[in-house]
Amino acid sequence: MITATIAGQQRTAARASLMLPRSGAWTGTLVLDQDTIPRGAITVTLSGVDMPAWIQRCELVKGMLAMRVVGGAGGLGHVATPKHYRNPTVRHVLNDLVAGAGESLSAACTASVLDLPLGYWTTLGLTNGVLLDALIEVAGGGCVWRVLHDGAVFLGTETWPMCPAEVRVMDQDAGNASQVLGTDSLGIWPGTTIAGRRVDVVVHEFDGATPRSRVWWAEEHA
Amino acid sequence: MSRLRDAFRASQGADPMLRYGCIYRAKVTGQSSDLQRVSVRPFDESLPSMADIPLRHGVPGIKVQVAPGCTVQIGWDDRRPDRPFAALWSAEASALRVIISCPSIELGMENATEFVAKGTSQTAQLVAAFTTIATALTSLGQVPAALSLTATAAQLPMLLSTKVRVG
Repeated sequence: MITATIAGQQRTAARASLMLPRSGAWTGTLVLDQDTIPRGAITVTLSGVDMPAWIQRCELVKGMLAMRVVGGAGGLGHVATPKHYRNPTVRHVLNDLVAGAGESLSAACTASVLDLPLGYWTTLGLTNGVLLDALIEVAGGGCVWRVLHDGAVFLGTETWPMCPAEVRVMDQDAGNASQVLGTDSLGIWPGTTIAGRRVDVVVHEFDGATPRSRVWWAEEHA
Repeated sequence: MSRLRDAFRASQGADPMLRYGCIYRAKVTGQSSDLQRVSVRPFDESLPSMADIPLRHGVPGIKVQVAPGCTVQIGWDDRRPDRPFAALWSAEASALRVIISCPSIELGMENATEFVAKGTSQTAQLVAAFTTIATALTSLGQVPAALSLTATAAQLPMLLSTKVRVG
């Protein structure tokens, strides 16, 4: 079940789709039985896990509220203030980008990556998300960034913990290295491992009946 | 702006390094004492002022002290934000000093043979030889006192102190 809490009111989504990538901000589309248009912060709850998010766009369609949300505080799509650095570390640049975006930095970031020295760094007038992409490109070593379920920005390398959810394979597309998994809890997260396979992207879909999770595996595209 | 155009721009931004593959014009605002780095202020406002970025010239072994306010191009090696550089001067740029570090400079034609003047070490040898000859001639009573000749020779390095050959 996927719910949305807006201004203290929790509502169950009639339909919802949440895309959680291993690198990047998670996004979602939700349809709620509501006749007012909200703005700003929202909490999406996926299988009991509260996920702070920001409403990017919403409108009323046939008496239902359709919205698109992005994980975090909505600042990763904002354009960063240009800045030049001499001898910074990844941590310096990351702190500035995250703070400038009004987001929070996760304590789970990989310390060895944050301490990487950079001779220079130039922050151009690009969106914070694009600059985070550039930062992980420069950091190398398979580094990723993503907005975690708690809304904080993680940057670092994967540890690939076991996925806590019990799943069953309902369909598969070997050509695209993806499977549709059934789970009672929708508790599948990117960066975790299921039966030895690494989750790269997961899309949780809920249409009011059976929840499904389509998973794209990482190793086939390594 | 149309949604189609927005989508197109979003697709352009899909490559985070794209903008770092571009070259931008910037005004020089300062230069390091070793002449190897410059501080610049780009004309494009989406770029920050950049301090102490490596300065490159089209020819190796050259250092140039540039006049403040010159326009130069800036870019990033391998499209990486951590590898900025400045290079390529605009036509109106002027140099205050040029230092060329190499054993031989030939002007006018290849394999030029005529020295414009002699280098420091050769000048010292010439001065020594001149002094020796002058001293010998003085002892033979052929020329005035060696002391004044030596003083004259001491002025020679100033006249002979470059290292350029011309054709």
